[in-house]
Amino acid sequence: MIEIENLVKNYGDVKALDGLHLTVKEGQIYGFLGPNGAGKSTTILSTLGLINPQAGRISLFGREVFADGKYREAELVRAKKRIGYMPEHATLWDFLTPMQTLDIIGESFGMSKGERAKRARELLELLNLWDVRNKKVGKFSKGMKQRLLLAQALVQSPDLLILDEPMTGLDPKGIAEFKDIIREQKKAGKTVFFSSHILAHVEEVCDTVGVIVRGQLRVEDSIENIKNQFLKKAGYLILLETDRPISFENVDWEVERVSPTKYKIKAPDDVRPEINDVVWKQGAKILQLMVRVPSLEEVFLSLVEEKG
Amino acid sequence: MLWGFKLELKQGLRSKKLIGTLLIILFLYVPFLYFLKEEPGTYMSTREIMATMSNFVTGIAIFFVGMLAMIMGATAINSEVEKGTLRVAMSKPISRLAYIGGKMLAHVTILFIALLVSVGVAIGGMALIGIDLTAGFVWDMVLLNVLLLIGITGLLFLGYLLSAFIKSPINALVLALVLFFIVWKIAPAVVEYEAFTHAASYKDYQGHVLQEYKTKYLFFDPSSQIEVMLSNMTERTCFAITKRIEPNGEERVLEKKEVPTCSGVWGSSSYPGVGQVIYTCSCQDVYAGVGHSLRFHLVNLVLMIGTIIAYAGFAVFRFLRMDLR
Ligand SMILES: Nc1ncnc2c1ncn2[C@@H]1O[C@H](COP(=O)(O)OP(=O)(O)OP(=O)(O)O)[C@@H](O)[C@H]1O
Ligand SMILES: [Mg+2]
Repeated sequence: MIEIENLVKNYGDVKALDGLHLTVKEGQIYGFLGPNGAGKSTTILSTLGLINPQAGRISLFGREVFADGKYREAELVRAKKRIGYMPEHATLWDFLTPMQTLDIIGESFGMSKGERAKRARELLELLNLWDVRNKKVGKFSKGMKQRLLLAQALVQSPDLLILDEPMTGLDPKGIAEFKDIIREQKKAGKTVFFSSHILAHVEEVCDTVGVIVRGQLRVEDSIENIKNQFLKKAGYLILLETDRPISFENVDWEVERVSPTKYKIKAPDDVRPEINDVVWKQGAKILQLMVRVPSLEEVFLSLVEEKG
Repeated sequence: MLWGFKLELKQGLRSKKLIGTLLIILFLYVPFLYFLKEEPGTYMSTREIMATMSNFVTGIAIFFVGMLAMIMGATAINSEVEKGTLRVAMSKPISRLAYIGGKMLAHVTILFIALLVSVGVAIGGMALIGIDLTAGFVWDMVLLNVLLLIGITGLLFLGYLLSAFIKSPINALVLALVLFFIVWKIAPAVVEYEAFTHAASYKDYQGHVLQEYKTKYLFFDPSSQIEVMLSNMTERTCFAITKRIEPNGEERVLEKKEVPTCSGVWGSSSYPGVGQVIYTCSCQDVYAGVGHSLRFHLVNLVLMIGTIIAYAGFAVFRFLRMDLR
């Protein structure tokens, strides 16, 4: 469905994509993960011909749309008939209502007036926007705008959905509904490619996860393996107070003595058994105990290291 | 092409910019028409009224509709990139060329509507206050409208050019307004000053030097070219009149004849027994029409169309290759 080879995109001195390889196969629900600024949006914009990469190759539905630094306009237009795209940080025409918006989008696919009206109703009901169908989009809340953005991507029942951070701005209920919609797409045999920097957003729905770091796809793996990596990296931050020296011989903690009576400890993984041995038995007091959540970048980088 | 056209037209016709501009134009016509109504035939002949009217229409259209064009153009592309609507639109199966073509066409249509209103109000207003409109005058207004549309389209595409190259809509807008006023006020003033100092060495009653300077130094500015093209809408005709005042105080015109210029043809002399003979001379700017003026300035028309094509060409060229983020 999507094949990207050796894609390079520089914004001036900034290397946004640095020889990216990526393949999304038919029927996959592909989560495209990466920290902020990794190049997710740049990749997505390139596949749709919205920005101009410097080098590489892009094929959509088995046909080349970008090669030798140029897009093939005709191929691109043909491919876009089968793609639904939801941009990141975008608004729709604020002088139109949801009905009018979906109508004009349907027109771009050459749908008839009747088809357009029917599809608009389906989508607005699906995304809980039917009640506000005649309200101007300019007056919408962020979440409502986000739903309409998703609706406009689904107008022609595309074979391939490309979504850029689709869940930002949605409330938990919205996220759950969104995931349902993705699952529906999977059932219907469609392909979904969507980006996020939050692991929780891609779990449950994706079968494959690709991780992009600094413009390169570093890992492609199942969601389970990636989640395990997260757990491995989780740990605790402990602040101890004590009036006598403590020994940390039997544990592999990172210890820093911040004052004569205080220790700051970074412990990996689950520390409950050791706390008993080290802290209580030696008569120290816990001032603070925090779970340390690893940053996505940290996990991604460790994944990258692990895979070599 | 039709898709982008429809979308843009919908947006444009609802925009406050257009409505505001039309209101300002209407507002300015009211005192002007009122003034014409109060003074019919006293100071001005119908032909003079027509001349005044076409100058007024031209001035208002170039200034207000021209400014509207610059503003619309300067934010046409960049604001859509900023909002993200362009990314939505261009993710649909529509080529960039078709989209920008439709958008430009829609903007030209909107300007055409604005011009129609300003010319329509002029004609309608004149009919309303009871000035006889000749077919020739109405035709002239149509021609004027076409010329203005071409010129103002040039300003629109100049705006597009800024919009394609300057990422921030606000910056592009400010630059467009600065350019517009430089081109509208400052540059012509400089060129005029130069022309007058140059013209002072030999007599330039018809403003030929000024026209030549504007053609040469303001070739990139459609509104200056329009001004040159319309600068001979009136023709100066002078009449030398010989009158005799009879001993009983009655005045009689002995002769009225058209002369090229009035210099040195006035004065009076007394003849005993016959009365006093007075030679007077007066000049009038009579309306000769848009077509009349255009005939002298076809070069400017060509120049103007050439620049418009260049502006539009560069803007489209850039749009086809730019990153829409
Ligand atoms: N218009 C631009 N000009 C210059 N640099 C840019 C531009 N757009 C993006 N970049 C840079 O390109 C890199 C990749 O950006 P991109 O938006 O693709 O990241 P992302 O993975 O989508 O991040 P996020 O999670 O924040 O959306 C970043 O370093 C960013 O600063
Ligand atoms: Mg992004």
